[in-house]
Order: sequence, then structure tokens, then C-alpha cells
Amino acid sequence: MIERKLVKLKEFSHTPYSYEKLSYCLNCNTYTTLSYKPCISCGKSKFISLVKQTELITKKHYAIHNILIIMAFFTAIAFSANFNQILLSVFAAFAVLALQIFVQRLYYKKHIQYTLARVVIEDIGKMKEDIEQDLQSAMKDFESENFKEAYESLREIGAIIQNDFIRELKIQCLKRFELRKDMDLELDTLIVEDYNEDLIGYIFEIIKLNNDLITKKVMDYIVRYEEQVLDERNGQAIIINTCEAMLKSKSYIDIYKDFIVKYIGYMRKNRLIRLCSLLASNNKPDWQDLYEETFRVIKEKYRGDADFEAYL
Amino acid sequence: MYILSRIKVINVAFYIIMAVIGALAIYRIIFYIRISKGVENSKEIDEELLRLLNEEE
Repeated sequence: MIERKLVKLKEFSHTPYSYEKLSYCLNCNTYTTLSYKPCISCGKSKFISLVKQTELITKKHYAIHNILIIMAFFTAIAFSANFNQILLSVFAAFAVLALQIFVQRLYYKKHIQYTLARVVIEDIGKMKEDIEQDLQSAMKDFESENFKEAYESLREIGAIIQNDFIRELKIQCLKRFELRKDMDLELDTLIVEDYNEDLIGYIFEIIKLNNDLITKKVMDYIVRYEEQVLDERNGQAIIINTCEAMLKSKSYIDIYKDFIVKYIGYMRKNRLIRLCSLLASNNKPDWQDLYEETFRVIKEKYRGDADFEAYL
Repeated sequence: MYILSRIKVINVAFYIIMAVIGALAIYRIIFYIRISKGVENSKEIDEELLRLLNEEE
């Protein structure tokens, strides 16, 4: 039995795009997902976000292009043979500079996107190597049983590198923590390809804390490994809670109706009322088995119960 | 004669520089307009980054 520790995890920032998780060290030019720690390569903390870096590159390009115009302007002045030519070069340089600055401002956001796309393509090999370094550092923490630090790092890396190895390491860390409702817990992002006993154990803990984390991905996993889950110590509780979570929307019922039918008899009363109200408001021919089984369970377990009178 | 030819050279150089300024401006403006049309949006860049980082070697 592993002893669970009480931990306070660092807040995980959910970003709309995963590239926002990447930072760049200005000192040693490495990418990292762990910008809250000193740089793994140089030990300094001179990080800027990848987006900020692309902004700097774009601004540098703008500055170079504007300086080129100014240099050409001074050269034109030097070669001017009379006052009219000086006037002409002043007018031309200012007009061109003004037009260029106007276009730069107009397309600034698009240009940043363009630079970002180029940085991604040009630096992808370097990014892979540098994130591998982050992973090595997280594994060192894991091996030295600093599970909190390891999990915090793995969560950041896992936002970008999505593989079962990282997911399994995260599960191994999580099973060592005393989970609480106020923690920013994840589940969807931990779903691995194969059956994982520790993940099932974690799902059971999550069900007790926050049923809203049971998403379609989790439901698919439970349905896929139904038999193995039932063999686990809390298997039935997991299956029933998953079934109850499936009643969150009609689309889930459409997908998992055959699965739900098998466990209607085990559902809690309030969830069964929810199912009844859904069935009553949706007369679907392919839900026939659900109607019949729900009706049978109500008649068997809740005959005479006022809450079910309307549905009988 | 010598002074006249010097003035001519300076004139030619001046107009070449003017042409360079114009060409630079036109090139940059075309460049900005072209990238603004062909650029991917953030979602596409994100998907591309994830695909490249997660692809098996």
C-alpha cells in the first residue's frame, strides 16, 4: 500500500494553444516548458514566451527594413547634385517609410503568425531535443521520489508531448497524492491506450471528488475495458458512476445506450429520475430497450414511490 | 567636360538610389500582403506543432 502525501500543487495554467506553453531562454537559446524553474541548460531564468519571441523577431525585421530605407535616404542625400534632388529624396524616403510603417501596423498580427509558423518549422528539431531535456529532469525528480515536482513538470510537458509514457508517469505520481476537491485535477489527459489498473484506481478517486471530469474519452475507456474494470475492487462503483455521468446529455445516451441498459438497476434514485425525465421528453425508437429496462426497474424497486408516479 | 561627366555620374547614382528605395518599398509591401493571405491561423500552427513534436521518428 503506497502512502499518500498531502501536497499543494502549483497552479496549472490552461492555455488555448499548446505553443503558449513553450518558453525560450534568452541566455542559452533553448526551449522549455518549465519556465517557472531556472533553465536546465544554463541555470538562469531569462525566459520569454514563444509568442513574445516571435514578436521580437518580427519587430527586429521591421526595424531592419526601416533602417534600410533611412540608409538609402542618406545615401541619396549624399549623391544629390542640387536642392531639387535633396527635396525629392526627402519626399521619397518619408513617403516610403510612412507607407511601410502603415503596412507593418496593418499586418502586424498576421506577420507574427507567419513568423511563428516559420519558427515552428525551422526549430522543431531543437524544440524536440530541449523538451526531451525537460522530460529527463522530470524523470530525475520521479526517480528521486520528488513526486510533486515530477508531476508539476510532467503536466507542463504533457500539454505538448502527448504519449502514454508521460501519462503513465503522471498516474504514478498522482497515486501518491492525497487528492482533494480544491486541486486542479486532470483525467481526460491521462487516458492511455492500454488497460491500466492505476488509472482505474485514480478514476475511482476522481469520481468521489468531481464527476464532471468523466468526459467522453473516459467513458470510451471504461466501456472498452468494462470487464477488467468490473474485476477491480471498486469496479462496479466506477461503472455505475460512469453510467450516471452518461446521463449528462442526450448525445451520450445515444452513443452508450447499450451500456447504460445493463446498469440501470444499480443507479441512484436521483439519477434514475433524471433518466426517466430524459426518456419521457425524447420518444426515440432506438431507445426502446432503455424504456423497457427503466420501466422494469421502476416497477421492481420504486413501485408506489411518488417521484416515479408520473413515469409509470 | 570633366565636371559635366562628374555631375552626370552623380545624377545617375542618385536616380539608382531612388529606384532602390522604390523597389525596396514595393517588395516589402508585396511581401506583407502575400504573407497576410497565405498565413496559417493559430489553431493550424498549434496542430502543426503538436503533429511535428509527437510524430514518431
